[in-house]
Amino acid sequence: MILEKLLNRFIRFQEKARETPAPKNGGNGDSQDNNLKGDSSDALLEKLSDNVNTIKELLGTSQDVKYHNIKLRGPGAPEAMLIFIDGLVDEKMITEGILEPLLTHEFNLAEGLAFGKLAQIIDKQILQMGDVEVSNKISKLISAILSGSSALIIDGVKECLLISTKGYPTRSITEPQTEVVVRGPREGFTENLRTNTAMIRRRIKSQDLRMEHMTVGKKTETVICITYIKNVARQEIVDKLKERIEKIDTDSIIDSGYIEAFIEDSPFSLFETVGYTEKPDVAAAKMLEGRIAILVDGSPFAITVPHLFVENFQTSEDYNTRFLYASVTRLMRFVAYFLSVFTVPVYIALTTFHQELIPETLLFTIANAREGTPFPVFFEALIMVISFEVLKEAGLRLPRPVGQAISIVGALIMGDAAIAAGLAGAPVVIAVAFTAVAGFIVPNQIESTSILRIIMMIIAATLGGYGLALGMLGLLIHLASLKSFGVDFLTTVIPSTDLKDSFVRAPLWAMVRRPIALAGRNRIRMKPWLPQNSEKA
Amino acid sequence: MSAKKITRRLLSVTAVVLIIAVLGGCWDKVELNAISIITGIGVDAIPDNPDLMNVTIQSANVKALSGPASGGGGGDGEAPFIINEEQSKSISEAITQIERRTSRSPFTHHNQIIVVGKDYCKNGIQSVVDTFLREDEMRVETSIVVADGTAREMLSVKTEIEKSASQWIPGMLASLNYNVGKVDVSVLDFANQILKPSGAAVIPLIKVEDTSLQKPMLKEKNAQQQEKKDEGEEKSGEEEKDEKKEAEEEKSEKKNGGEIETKTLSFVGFAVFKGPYFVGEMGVAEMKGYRWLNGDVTSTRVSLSVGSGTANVNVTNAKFKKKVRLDESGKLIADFSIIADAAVLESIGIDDTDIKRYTKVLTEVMSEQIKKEIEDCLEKAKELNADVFGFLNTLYEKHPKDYKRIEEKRDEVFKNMTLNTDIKITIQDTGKLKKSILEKWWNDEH
Repeated sequence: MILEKLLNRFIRFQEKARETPAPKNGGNGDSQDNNLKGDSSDALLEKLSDNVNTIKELLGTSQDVKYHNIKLRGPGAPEAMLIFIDGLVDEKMITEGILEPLLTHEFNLAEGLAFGKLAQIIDKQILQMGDVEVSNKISKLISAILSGSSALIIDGVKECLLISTKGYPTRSITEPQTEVVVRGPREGFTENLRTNTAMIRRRIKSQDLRMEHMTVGKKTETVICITYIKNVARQEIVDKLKERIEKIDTDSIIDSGYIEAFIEDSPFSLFETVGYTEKPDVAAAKMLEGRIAILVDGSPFAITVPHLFVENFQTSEDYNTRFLYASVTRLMRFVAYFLSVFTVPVYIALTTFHQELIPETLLFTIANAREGTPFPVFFEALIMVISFEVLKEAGLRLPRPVGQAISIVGALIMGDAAIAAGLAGAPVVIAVAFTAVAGFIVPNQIESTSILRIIMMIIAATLGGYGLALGMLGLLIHLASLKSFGVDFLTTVIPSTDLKDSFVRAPLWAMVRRPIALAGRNRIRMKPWLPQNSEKA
Repeated sequence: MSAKKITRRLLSVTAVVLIIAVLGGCWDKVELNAISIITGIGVDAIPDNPDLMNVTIQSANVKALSGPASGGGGGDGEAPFIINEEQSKSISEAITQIERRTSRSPFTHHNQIIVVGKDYCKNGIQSVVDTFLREDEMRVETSIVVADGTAREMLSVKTEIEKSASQWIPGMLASLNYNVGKVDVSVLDFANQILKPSGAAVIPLIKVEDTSLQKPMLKEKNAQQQEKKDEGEEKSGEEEKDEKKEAEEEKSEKKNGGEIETKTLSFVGFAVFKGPYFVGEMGVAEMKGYRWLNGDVTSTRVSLSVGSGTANVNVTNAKFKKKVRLDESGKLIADFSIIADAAVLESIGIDDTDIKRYTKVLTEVMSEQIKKEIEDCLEKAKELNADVFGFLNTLYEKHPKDYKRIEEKRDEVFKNMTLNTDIKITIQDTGKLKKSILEKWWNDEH
């Protein structure tokens, strides 16, 4: 079988990657990077034209690389070359911070004496820029200009100045599309890593906040930022995370989802063991419970580890509203999730195996609707479930202006035509529609519910209620066996002492400690505290 | 795990999952449109063949049992149920036989009721009880009733409000509270009762009564039409149209036979069984005492006649005590007491000017009447020689040694038993009226 061979190959490749220790520093090893030559040719030469030629050779004919030739003023002042990539830099910074001071400065160089220190002099005395680095490596120069810095090479000097002039266009901070709240902060992460780290810093002004940068992706050289609060997050989890990231040996990291794929514990499971959020306040709150957030340059989604099952049912709004209502909605979410997976399978099991369990009047109604429908209940339900998934996917991808057409067609097909044409009975349509709506209450789990629902439908159609019981048991066993960075996936849902923020949310003042599985020994959040009116008593 | 193993496992799991999806048909899977839902089963005697029974099977006509989708009404005048008849040795056999005549396999789990014809009962209903207690697909909680007539007729009655007699009867039995307390008897209850020492049990007795009336409106209309025709032959276009319409209406009315054909199922008493055998009936008048002696009434109504006046009283919070003992001579003596509250619902022509006297009179009359009801009922039971109140059962439970002594001649002991009744009823409430509205006239008259 071709499929088997393909899968075999895929998995064998995975194993190899696991066996061979990945090179340090996020796979940025130069041995595999044939663009740059060995150490001997990596150093900058004295002659400007030689250096420029080398760089031109390395970068090829890319028109967006700008070579700006300047002549410094003053007796014996050398020529210089400013190299940057158009679009990645802020032109105003270059004009006002580099070119203006450089070109107006009168160099008075005693022959041969200060020439060697010219780079340092320019850095310290002339440039009006904050982030300047002096380097003598071409590889460093290349990677600097590729990430938006400008490089200044001076004729006769073996060093170059790498001036940070990053100024590429970014999206401004907007309200996130996915995690909408009625009450609570409306900021969302953007594609710019710096903006994102700043948003977290603004929320946690602790000196313990750590932001450790790493570069991943051999071609993309994506900067990622591991953010956590020291003394709150467990050090062993931080170490484990770093170790896993260091092992990543891919050429490209485009989004945080790429990182997730490489660091998650159970890639074959239906449930994700890495969380994600689009909101800095959520990321901050999770970090304050002992989790670690990973920000990826170019991604508006931060991923958080360890990720627990209960997190799918928590929203930032739960903590901003009063705890009673929050608890009720939390419970409702659990129920809705359960129903979203099991409504259709239970319907199938009841109508094909256990008709005796359906109340008489309902049985007659269902039986009446079943009259004249051509397919078995299972296929009837499958058709409706699949057509719903198709509609959902279509609604997600299609260009906005066409959206209305799809929703009209969808509503007609799903609601009316399918029943009128006798393809499906009304009860199935209701069950599927309810399932779909209930699924959206737990948006993080939409992926798992869609697949789980179909699996359960198959089991229910095969073995009925007995099969459903088996399936449910299997699901529980699977969930209980999952781990996220050494933390049990079901923590705070299974019986334990840590249940203040699971099926219900306790008042904030009652949550004196952080979850033990996440924060380990650093648990105490506050002194025991009682509400105001209890002091009177 | 090696790569190959993982692949194998993944592939085999996928294959198995895909294949099992269609495997359900190999075992218990039944689609809803492949079953015929049996709603009621009736058993009648066949006069000249005591070995066979005539089994009436009422199943739901799902198409006519319109769900809300097809918009109410019994779709196209079709009856919401189908009647099938089989002559067989047992109910199970009849259900097996019926498969020959239907496109769908019979589904008995949802059977609502079992109706046994009075004639059949005389030969004993042990076979019916056995089927329901034994077979997996039958429910022991199914209500059982005896038809005063044939079960076939009863199950064929087109009832109002409910879809069929099998839904109507359990509803009626459940709503009989005010009159007779709990009368709904399931197969299991029945079996429990006849296995007890007294061996007597009751099953509600139901009769089909013809309540068809000539539709008065229709009569009038017919008369009018007759007049119109007599008046003359001139017809304008509009009139013609009118007439056509009327003619159509007439036609549709004629289809119904020109009258509303209604049959009502009414509760007419109890069929009394000794063991599985029918021994007699207890009419509504005779069985009034049953509700007290049976002791499961929580709220019931009593009609009283006080002098020339009448009163209707609601009895609530009733507490019953039944004590049974055997004296030295081997006579069964039962002490029965009722403590209850009562509220007056209606009082006509009774002097209520003095509330104390009024309540005293009412209480006395009520005690007398209840006592009489109980005694009448007991008399009837003695006549049928069936201890339906379970005095013998109580004796067996409380004094097993005494029971052993009289076991041989228990029927005789029951016949000679004496019952002492002690009734304490307090009138708590005289209704919304606190003061008599009759006071003014009463004083004038007396």
